[in-house]
Amino acid sequence: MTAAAAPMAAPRARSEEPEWLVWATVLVALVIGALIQLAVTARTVTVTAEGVALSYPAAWFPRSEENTLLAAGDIQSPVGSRVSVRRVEAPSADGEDPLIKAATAWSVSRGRGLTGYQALGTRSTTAAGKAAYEVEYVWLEQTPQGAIAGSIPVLMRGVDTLVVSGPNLYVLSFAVTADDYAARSPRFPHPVSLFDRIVSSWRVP
Amino acid sequence: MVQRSSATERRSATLPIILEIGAIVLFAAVVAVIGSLVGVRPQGAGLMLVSLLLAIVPAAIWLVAFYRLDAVEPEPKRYVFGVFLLGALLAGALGEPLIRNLFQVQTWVQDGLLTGLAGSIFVVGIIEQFLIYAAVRYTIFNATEYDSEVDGIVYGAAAGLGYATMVNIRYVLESGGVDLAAGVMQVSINALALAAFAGIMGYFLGRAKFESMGRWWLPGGLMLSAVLNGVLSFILEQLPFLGGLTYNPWYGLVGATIIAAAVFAAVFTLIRRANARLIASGGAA
Repeated sequence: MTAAAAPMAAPRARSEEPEWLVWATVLVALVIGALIQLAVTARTVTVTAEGVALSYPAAWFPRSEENTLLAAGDIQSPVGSRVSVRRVEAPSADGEDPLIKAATAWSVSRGRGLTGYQALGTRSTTAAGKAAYEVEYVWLEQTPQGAIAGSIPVLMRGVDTLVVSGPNLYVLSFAVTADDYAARSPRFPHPVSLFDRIVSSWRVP
Repeated sequence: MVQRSSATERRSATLPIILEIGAIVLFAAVVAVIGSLVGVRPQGAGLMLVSLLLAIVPAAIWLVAFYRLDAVEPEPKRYVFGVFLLGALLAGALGEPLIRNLFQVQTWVQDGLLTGLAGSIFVVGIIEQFLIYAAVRYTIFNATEYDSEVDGIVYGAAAGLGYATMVNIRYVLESGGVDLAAGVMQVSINALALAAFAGIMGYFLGRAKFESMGRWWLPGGLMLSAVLNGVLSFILEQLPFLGGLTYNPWYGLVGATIIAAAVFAAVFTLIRRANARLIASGGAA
């Protein structure tokens, strides 16, 4: 510590200290850490109900939502980060594309049920091995604390994927806060890739 | 003469650390009791200011203790403070971004016991301990002022406290200010734990410079301190919930105090024995 205090022995030469071993140890440990992270975050749980199968991150928990066959969400965040599957009767096509007609009707009903609903776009796609239609939208959601506690609503971003199967319309709803969607925050790291994973593993009768 | 000066140096290095542990516990207890008795809860900028003060107090206590006890013999204050600052800078610039943004440990480490332990060791522990190692190894380690094995513990603890201070500041800023009682406990636990784990790394660094310890000594020391860091940090996070669903930060503080006291007692004992063996074999200068 000081020149007055006697050193116990002469300092060793630098060449005796294989510094690369320390760096190699760190590298190996971090690779193990990254593999564990990958294994944990990539793990999913698959649930089924009435012929519908849905996969979601293992860290999520099942939720109870009205009129849903299956629902799950990230309980670490008070709002957002959730997925659900609904089954409703498909409207009669009357010569129109049944999927587009169903999507239009669904979008209207969503607009009635969600505060500040605004559709952002629609597109044709495939899901559950069938032709599908996606409706992307935003809305305002009150936090669990509610307006009484003085909290302001949260801007949410959602994607509904619609598939017609037989007489039924199946809707996979994926929701995340707009902040998480934009920032890809640690709370919800990769919403787009997660959405793709959920949709690709979705099955309907 | 060698034994006498070594004993003096051990005392001058040990006393600030003992004082640090005791003073932090006292500080946390006093603030927590005052916070619960007075019942005044600062808000807004006042809360942030008080919280930031709480975050840096543990480091300030140690630095003051170190400087006050420096009268025994002159110490390279600027090096100690420099390593402290470097520990804080490495935490802010590398450690916390790696742990929280790249590995996003906070999103998956609660997934289960084994996952939590593995994440604590192979991500949090290894990154924290390597940066503490780097703060000492690539700076003061090669300086002439680093001239005894105890210096490894002193500089290691300085780097660890610097790291802890940055962790505490981030904790306060992210929380938008903290509750006095719970907040002071958390910053105290962070400071005690990180200083203790850094002391272990410092022990390995201390002996590495003056003895022929073999090529696996430093990697082994780094891995051991990372494992202890990971396991004990994981336990410390669970301790406040020991009583069931009720959160009691006192359990965490008691645990951190025991860990810090045990770690520093162990590393100083090991250093003393190593020195005694060296003197007995006639290896002293």
